[in-house]
Amino acid sequence: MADVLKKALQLLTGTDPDALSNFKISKKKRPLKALTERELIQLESEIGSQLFGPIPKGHRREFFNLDPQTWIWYEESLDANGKTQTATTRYELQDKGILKVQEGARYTFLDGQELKNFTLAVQLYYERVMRDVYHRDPQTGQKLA
Amino acid sequence: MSESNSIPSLNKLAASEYIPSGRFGVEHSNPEQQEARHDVAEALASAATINHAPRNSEVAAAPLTSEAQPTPEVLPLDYIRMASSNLVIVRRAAQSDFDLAA
Repeated sequence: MADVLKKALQLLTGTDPDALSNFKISKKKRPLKALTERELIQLESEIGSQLFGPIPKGHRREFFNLDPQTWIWYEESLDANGKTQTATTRYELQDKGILKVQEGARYTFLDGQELKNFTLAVQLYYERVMRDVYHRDPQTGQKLA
Repeated sequence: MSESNSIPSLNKLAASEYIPSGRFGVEHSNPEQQEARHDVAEALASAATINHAPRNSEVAAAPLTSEAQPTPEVLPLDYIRMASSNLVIVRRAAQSDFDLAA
């Protein structure tokens, strides 16, 4: 089988060995290639967490896009007794709107000022992540010079 | 209506306790913060569109800090969908050997 393919390739390219190099797709250097998806999201979340002001000492905050339908907001802090309190809020993009899912099975659709604030946060996140993490123009998706 | 169509500086947002009580940045008692909220909302309404924003293909893209140009409002849900899917695409492209198609 390999011989048949070799012969077919030779028919196409001739017998010049250098001609084969024209068919190679150049692999550009990809500095982020070694990172897992989780690690890339962590990079993005570092930007997301900064969008809402300084993080108080002892607090931990994350805000990131998980997948095409989900955004995550996570807060971690110490209460008066020194116990760690956590809160995870999921924002799901649905046909009817953005469903806010909180712990304790609380579901509400974003509306009014909260929806505007969330949209702005997404916009700021998108702009900064595209530029700072992926070095791409957020409007065109093209690589920045 | 705010004369400036640019997104207010992040310092205004940073000055606020943005996520009190679990409601995304809604409750503020400081008038300056409320003004910042108003500016933010106004800026959002006239924010630049993205080239591949859905539905209205005649909307011209404009940079975020451009001078006042009337642009149709992009529906929030559409914008968020676009941003979400683009982020996933770019994330996957960053992990692959090859660049996105020009």
